[in-house]
Amino acid sequence: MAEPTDKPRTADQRLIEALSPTIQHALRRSLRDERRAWSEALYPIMLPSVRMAVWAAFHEAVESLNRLVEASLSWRSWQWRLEAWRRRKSFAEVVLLRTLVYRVEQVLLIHRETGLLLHSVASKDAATKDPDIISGMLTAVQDFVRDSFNGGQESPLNELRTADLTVRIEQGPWAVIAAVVRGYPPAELHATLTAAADLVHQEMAQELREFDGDAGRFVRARSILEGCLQAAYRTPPPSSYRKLWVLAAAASVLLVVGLAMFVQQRLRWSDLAARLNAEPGIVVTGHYDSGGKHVIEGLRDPLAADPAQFMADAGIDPARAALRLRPFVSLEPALQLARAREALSPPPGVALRLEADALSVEGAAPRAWIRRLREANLAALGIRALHLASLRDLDAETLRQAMESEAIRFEPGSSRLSPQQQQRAEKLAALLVDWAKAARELGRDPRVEVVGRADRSGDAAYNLRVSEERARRVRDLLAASGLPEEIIAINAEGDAAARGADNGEDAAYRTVRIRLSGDSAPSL
Amino acid sequence: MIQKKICLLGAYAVGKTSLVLRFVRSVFSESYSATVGVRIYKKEIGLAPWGIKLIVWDLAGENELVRLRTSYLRGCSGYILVVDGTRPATLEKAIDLQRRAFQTLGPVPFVLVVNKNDRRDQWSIEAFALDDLRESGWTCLRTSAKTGEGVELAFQILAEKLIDAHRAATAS
Ligand SMILES: Nc1nc2c(ncn2[C@@H]2O[C@H](COP(=O)(O)OP(=O)(O)OP(=O)(O)O)[C@@H](O)[C@H]2O)c(=O)[nH]1
Ligand SMILES: [Mg+2]
Repeated sequence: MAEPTDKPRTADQRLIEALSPTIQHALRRSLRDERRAWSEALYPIMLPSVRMAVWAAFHEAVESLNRLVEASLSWRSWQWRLEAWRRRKSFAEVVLLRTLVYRVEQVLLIHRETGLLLHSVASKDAATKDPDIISGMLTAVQDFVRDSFNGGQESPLNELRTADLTVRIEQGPWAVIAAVVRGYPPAELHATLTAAADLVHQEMAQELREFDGDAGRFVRARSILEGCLQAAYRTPPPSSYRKLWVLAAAASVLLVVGLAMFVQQRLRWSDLAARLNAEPGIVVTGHYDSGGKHVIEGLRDPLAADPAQFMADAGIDPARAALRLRPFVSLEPALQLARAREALSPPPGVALRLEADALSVEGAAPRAWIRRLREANLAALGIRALHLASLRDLDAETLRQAMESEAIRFEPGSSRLSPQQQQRAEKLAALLVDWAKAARELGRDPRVEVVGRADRSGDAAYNLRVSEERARRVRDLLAASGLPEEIIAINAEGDAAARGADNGEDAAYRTVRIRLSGDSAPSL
Repeated sequence: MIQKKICLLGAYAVGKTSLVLRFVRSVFSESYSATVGVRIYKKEIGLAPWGIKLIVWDLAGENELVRLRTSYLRGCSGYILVVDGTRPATLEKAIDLQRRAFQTLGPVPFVLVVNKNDRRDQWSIEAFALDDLRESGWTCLRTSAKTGEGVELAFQILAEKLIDAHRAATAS
């Protein structure tokens, strides 16, 4: 066979050949510093979670810390505030970064030989990546280190680190436990992971030995893994006496500006009352000073914005105000929408819009929620019409992909269904019935095209006939299973797909597949 | 749903990464960036209980400087050998890789694909070159990561073989 050298190369190929040694060289150089090599290999895994984690991941913890720190007028808290301002982050984010000691965000149980994920758990709200992929990447890194640094002996790699994530790895004979930790894990974590690994090996020894790709048997490991999801926060240290003079200086400055602020305060009250009044669902009927407090009277729909937030935004101390807002039901559209939102609790990815008493639901939702929406008493919410043209059924979409990748297979020249293929087709039929029903419920026009194919072992006319018989056979089965006949069409493709291919005799061409349409919204 | 690890093997720049990206994300890019080490992807095909979750290891292609790390093959249930139809030497490389994969993994299922089928004008692998391989029982097909031709089918055929092998193993 010819070598590539005796034919002209394209510019691409020359470039590729020129670059390859450079890439190799770069890789080798990076290996000199082991830690850097590891973190590079892990970089693609870690980056998104690093970016997202700060405020998405721990807001429960932030909430309480925030209150704690805001209450104490420590020098440190002012430093943090300054830092927050400089780095354009919220104060709470900075507090989190400075007070978190560590948190185990994800624990994976990985099959050692294959790198396949057996089970995984994650701490609440942690921004984690697909555990199947991490599992594979960690195994690849281990393999790599084993090859590169200790000549194929047992791996010494038990920790990987990036700027703020650490992965602790505990090796067992059959499985590996990996913990993804934000911050600096204490030494005790090592003991916890070792114990967990031992326990898993003790309790699931047989399952581990027999593992053949079916991870279903490892849900039992859940409680053991959850035991590893530990965390610790540090409370902010007490303020330093040496910094007290700064506070004293600040106090005297406050005194000087105090008078000016008093005047400003009066203006703020009027402004606050006006802004509350403009808010949908809040009506201010009057405001006046009484008993050292400023009283604001009026009405408020329970779903309207929280007046405390307005005070905070206006820089007004809530302790100085007395709100006397009696509850009422507002008919303003914004409140009506808020009421609908509360009653329907739309899943993430679904947006509600209200226009002239008509509710539009947009986005993608699980089927169960769509059913609940259809059954909800919308009239009670003041809604007269429901528009679903832009709503997609998530379950139907997943199901559709799975159904379209199914193939019913046939023996050469035959359109008979073997018992196994018959069973397979029946299962497909049941799902199709469900899919079509859901699409119709959303006012769509579902269509099922049954595509028959043949390999190229006979002549074209014969192959066409066989492919048609196959498609008919499956169509009849679908109709008998309750799929409305008028939505099924058959399409005999004969050996068209097989003809162009080298392996035209392959079983892969003796199939019936389905193509689905009409379940999604018409594009606008 | 069962899960299985599979690998893509072949010379450099034959289109291994392109095939996976076409299969997993339905995208294609003309620009080439060599894979360093390994990247991992996943995709589920078919319906439970016949469905399967493929964990796909896309390995760096071999050239004069990089050799295949056989340790990446450990625990692999099947593989796809990728050849570039415009570079005959990549077929020899694939045959050599198959031999080495066999030494590590034994007789696990595999499929050979001749990629870049959209560039038939620059094609330089003779039609009969694959006949011997077919006769010895290899499954060979043509693919194009660029147009998508044959890509789904290649992964599907391998998946079917994996499921058959899995059934045979659990039955015994
Ligand atoms: N025309 C055409 N180009 C392709 C096809 N598949 C891949 N390519 C191109 O070939 C080049 C190499 O593709 P990759 O998928 O990166 O190759 P690879 O096998 O992963 O390479 P390594 O990672 O170095 O082993 C890229 O420029 C692709 O755009 C194809 O089917 N047709
Ligand atoms: Mg690649």
